[in-house]
Amino acid sequence: MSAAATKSLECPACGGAIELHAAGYSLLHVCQYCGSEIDLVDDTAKLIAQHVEAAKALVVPLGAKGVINGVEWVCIGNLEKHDGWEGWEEFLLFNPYHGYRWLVLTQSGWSLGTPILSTPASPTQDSFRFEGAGMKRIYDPAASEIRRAIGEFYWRVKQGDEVVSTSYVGGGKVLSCEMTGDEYNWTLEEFASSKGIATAFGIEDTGQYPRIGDYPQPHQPNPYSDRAKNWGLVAGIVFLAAMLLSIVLSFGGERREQTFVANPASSARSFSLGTFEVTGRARPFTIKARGEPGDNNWMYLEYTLTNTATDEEIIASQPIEYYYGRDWKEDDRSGTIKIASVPAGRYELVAEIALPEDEVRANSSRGWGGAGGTGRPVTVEVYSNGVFYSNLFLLFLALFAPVLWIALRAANFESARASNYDGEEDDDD
Amino acid sequence: MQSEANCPNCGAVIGTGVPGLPVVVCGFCNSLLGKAGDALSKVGEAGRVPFDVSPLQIGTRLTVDGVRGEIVGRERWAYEDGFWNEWLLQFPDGASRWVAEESGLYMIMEEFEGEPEEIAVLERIDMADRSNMGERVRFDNTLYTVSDMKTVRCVAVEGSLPHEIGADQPRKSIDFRTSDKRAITWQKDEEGHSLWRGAYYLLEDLSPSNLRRFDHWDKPGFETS
Repeated sequence: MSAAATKSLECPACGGAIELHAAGYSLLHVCQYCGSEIDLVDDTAKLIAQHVEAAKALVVPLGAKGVINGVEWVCIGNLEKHDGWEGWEEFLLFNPYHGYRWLVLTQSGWSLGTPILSTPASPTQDSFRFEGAGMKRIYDPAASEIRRAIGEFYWRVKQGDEVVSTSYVGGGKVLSCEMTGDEYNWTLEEFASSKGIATAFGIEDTGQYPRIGDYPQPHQPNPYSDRAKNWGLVAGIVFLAAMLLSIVLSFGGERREQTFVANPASSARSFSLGTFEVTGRARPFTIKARGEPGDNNWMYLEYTLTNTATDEEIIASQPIEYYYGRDWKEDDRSGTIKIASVPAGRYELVAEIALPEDEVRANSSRGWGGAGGTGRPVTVEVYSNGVFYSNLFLLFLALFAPVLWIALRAANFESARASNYDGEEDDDD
Repeated sequence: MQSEANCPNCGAVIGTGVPGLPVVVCGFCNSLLGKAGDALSKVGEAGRVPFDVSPLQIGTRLTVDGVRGEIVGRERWAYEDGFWNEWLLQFPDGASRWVAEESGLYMIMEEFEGEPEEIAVLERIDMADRSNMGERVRFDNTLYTVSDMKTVRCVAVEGSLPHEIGADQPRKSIDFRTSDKRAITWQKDEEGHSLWRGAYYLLEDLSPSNLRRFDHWDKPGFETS
């Protein structure tokens, strides 16, 4: 046997058809057609205030049904509230077996409020723990005014009624406490997506922050923080893989080292580091030089990498210098050169050393002592491969710039959110 | 289980209600009938319980603290700003609890005797009227917050009841709640005071069966068979 779920009445003022969905719970009905208030406390629809307001289309119409988290709800009432700073709407939802819920439409989106049975804290506290989460006060107790009420309510709501409320956030949820004269009513609010509400009630998507509103709701998930984490993880993995790969690829090359003593008196200052085989893909060459030019002196190395088959040459040079004064020093006695990509083939590497004495001799001028006639040693090390840190650095930038950008957006989202809180240091209210 | 008799007011054949409960309401003429042995006599008017969409009904079974009971009667209470149902939940051993149903919440209460010093505190809060809202008081080493104060009256009853309810007799009622869903209610009228303690529940916490059915609403997933 199934009982009727609604009770039908006529508005005693305008004759409009009214369906009560929470008969026996509802104390008051405000006619959606004319705004007249009908008292339901005595089981007879008694007109308590007659109005002739124009019917207003509600975002969620009275009588609309929608399924949220697997439970069906009917919208039975609508309140418009304002706290002097901004306004919002609250839709009262009802299900005979599950009781009441509040669907709140703020400037930034939707929230679903469930009345809670327990008293989580005294609303004078600034913070407390609730179901394992640390709750922190975000809105100090402040009065808001009911600017309009339409539909049926379980208390006698009146236009102009004031209610003092305070809110806390923690663990992705909001706890609000309304203090109405003789009652403390706590509500647990969970974020609801505008798309989800639109689908549930078959209404148009109202949008949510950042499409509407100046700041996100306290419990709106930060869409950037997860993305920043995911992208950061991916970027980290890719970068690590690139590093490992370039280290692995740097194996298999050859390494040679040779020391040569350059004699100023002799013109034989060219020496070969031997031949190298580059097979398959192009490979980098890394050439490190370490020399002793003498005090306040220089030497100059010129490398020629010659393809023995084609005689094509790759030329690179490396100055070696050591200068100092009483209180300064410029020590460039070692240096590294990288040749990015040497195509496959057989190569000979020759290094040639130039000394200051060569110029002296060329200018036929005498009397410049320099470092005298002592030999100056140079050690050249060659890797027919190498890790290109500049490439890795570019890769790092390419990978992490978007992560940084999204992390900044995540931080902006949070600071926009916090800008609306009371008692924050960056409170700009 | 129930025997039958004629209503002394309208003559209809009615069940005599739950044995051991001294009052039954005639479902035809809403007379409040007192039981003396097998004899019924009219002791007052039960009033008419208005149509509501309460999911509970006489015959609904609920489990409280592991014991399953059945609803056998109901009182409809009202105050200046609202109304609620008190359902009498009868257990097989003859014990009973009241299920107060308001705004989709269920407070299950049983009567207890307070300590004299607790009664003194309650009397003081009662006298101070609404100025004590939000005050915290200690019962049984538990802190309770004064959360609701109102003057209430019974407007209608149905089914079997443990007492003749004084219709429209005003009664002062103060609710105290803990942070963990427990509650104490203090009630006081011309005949004296009573103290009730219990806790708030959701309907789904009570493993309900034989809930009332409504057109266009699916039965809830938590209903047991």
